Amino acid sequence: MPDIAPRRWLYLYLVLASTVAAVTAMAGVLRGGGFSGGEIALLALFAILFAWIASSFWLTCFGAVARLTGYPLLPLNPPIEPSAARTAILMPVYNEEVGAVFARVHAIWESAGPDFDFYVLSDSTNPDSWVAEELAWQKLKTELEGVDNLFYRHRPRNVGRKSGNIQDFCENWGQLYDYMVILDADSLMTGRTLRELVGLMDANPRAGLIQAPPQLVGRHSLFARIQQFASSVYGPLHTAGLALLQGPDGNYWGHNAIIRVHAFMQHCGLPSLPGRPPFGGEIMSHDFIEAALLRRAGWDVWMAPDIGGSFEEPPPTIPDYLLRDRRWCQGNLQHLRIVFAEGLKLPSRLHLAMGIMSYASSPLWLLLLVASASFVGAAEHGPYYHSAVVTLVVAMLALLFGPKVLALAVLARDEDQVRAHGGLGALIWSIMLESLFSALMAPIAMLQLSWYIFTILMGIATGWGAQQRTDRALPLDYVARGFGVHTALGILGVILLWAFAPGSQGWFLPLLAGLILSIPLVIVTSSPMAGKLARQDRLFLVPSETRGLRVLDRAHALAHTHAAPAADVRALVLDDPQVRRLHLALLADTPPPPPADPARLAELRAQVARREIAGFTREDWRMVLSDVEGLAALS
Amino acid sequence: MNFHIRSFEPSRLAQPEISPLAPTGVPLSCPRPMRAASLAVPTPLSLFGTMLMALLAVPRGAMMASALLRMRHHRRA
Repeated sequence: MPDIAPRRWLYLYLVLASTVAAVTAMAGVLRGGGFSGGEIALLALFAILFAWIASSFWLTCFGAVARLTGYPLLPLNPPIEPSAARTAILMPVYNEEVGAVFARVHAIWESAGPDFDFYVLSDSTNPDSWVAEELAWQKLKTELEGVDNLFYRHRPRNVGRKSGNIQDFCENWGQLYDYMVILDADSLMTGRTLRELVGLMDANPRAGLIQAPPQLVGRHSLFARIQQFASSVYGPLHTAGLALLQGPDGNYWGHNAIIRVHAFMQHCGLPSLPGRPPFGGEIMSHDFIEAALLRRAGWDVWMAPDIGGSFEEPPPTIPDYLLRDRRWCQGNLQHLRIVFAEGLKLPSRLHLAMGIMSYASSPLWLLLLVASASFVGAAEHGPYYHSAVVTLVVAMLALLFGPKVLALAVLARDEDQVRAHGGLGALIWSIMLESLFSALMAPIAMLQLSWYIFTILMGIATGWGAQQRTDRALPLDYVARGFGVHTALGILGVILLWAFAPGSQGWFLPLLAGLILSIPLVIVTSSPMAGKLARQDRLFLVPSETRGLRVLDRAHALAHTHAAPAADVRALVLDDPQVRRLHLALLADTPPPPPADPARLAELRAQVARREIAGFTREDWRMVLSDVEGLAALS
Repeated sequence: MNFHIRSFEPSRLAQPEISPLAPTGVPLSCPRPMRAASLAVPTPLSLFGTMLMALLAVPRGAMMASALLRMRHHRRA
């Protein structure tokens, strides 16, 4: 493998040099009659944030160079095929839409064939989901006649969330396997990719984990389609840049990755952090930590940017996206407790620090903007003020939009890819509209993430609830409740600027426009109809839409066949002897739940016997469905 | 209710010599616990981390102090 150090030093030099140049220009803007304490603080804040966007810009430039020169991004021995290794494909689920989950399992199974064992590892706490999953599992086994490698396991308590779920698998069945492929509930992978990953692990015994970066596909709302387009057009440069710079010091994104089971079991047991959430307790964003622990133990962690065949679905609406960010934000801030942990390699610490910074940058931007606005309103300007401001703005625009232009330049070389994105004209229009959308979305996300960080620092923890993954138009009253504050703050910003810095509104207009337009922006982009209209106009097209994608099309086609068979599937356990038999058989493999209150259990049994179940709470249902003795007595 | 399960067969692994047959959803388990890794921070950095955490706790502390003051004021009134 070529020495990776020179390219890392070059990257560091470019980030620092561009930051120094920008800070010098900024100092020219600020210099009136020497620097005040406030101006020095402003300059420091600017330096941090400029370095942050410069690091992203240069990463993309590295990616572009790698793509244009065809530089090898995964310097590993070629895969050994066929493999004799035993590999488990794990799909952890938590109160997900059951039909869609099992349709994806079905589609992956069809693509991967009998070479793998499939485990649906349920942590569902919703009794409806629990029973629906059991029925869907049994139905799928029946449909795939003779299949003996599709397993289902339900945990009565979701201790440790997803990482606890995987740990439970490892502790019970890990020894049976060489590798495991971790999926998310919305993941899809092709059989070819799965077999290639296994072959790569076979051929490279130092590899502990290989991440197959997932491409966003499969949703229809305008917001989701814009994200899918961005992932398809800009993603390849980003992943190429990452692969080039991280080498064997890669990261793990929590799913769509293959892991060497014995390395994981030996080194990746996660401790509970001292103290209470949000900073203490269970580690929420476990993936970065697991990659860091594998690296600490000497295992290589790779990313395979060109392997293909790895997909996931984006959140369908802006509120869903922000809700997911709330959890990720808390998980990443928790890494403040871990970033200095003993023995971690420097690149692993950088992964953790960059994860923290991707959220901490929001309140810092907010602070910088407020401080800049006050400066514009109050300060006397130096002689080079206007030229320095123009230089800075041009530099910032180059950093923000340069990667998009580079991505277009790289993509435009491949006619086939251009056609798959709707043709050159449609591609350029889509990039321009995506840039406009990003500019409007950025201040909304900045404000929302700043609020999240404030609440987290206040000690308000969030759960790790099920994600909303279905396309749906959002009603006005719901959006107005969520984004009324953003709109009001945008209007307030205009008034304050008009009152105190009347000449400066133009500079802040793009930011304030995003906030003022947040409600219509959320409504329009959540709409599947708007997504469909954009598709008719050939906007935001991606290869999975123009050429089709077999595994995705199969998952969509199969979704309705795996949907729950009744509105209230819980009652089927009481009413249908075969469903009850299946449920009892699966319970026999499940660790017993915590002991129930005997008096309450007796009361529930009596109510079940009389079928007075209408008023059952979720906890009541959990007790009834876990009551082996009571259910057996119904037979 | 018209829904019926057509069959219910025990599942099994492809390599029965490795994993004995299980009666239902999963292969019989071969338990082996995972040991929790240490994420301890070296002492000087731990001190830095403690200071950082204390700094991060300032807004929370300020809010609690303000709530306490308000409560006392309310009681006096």
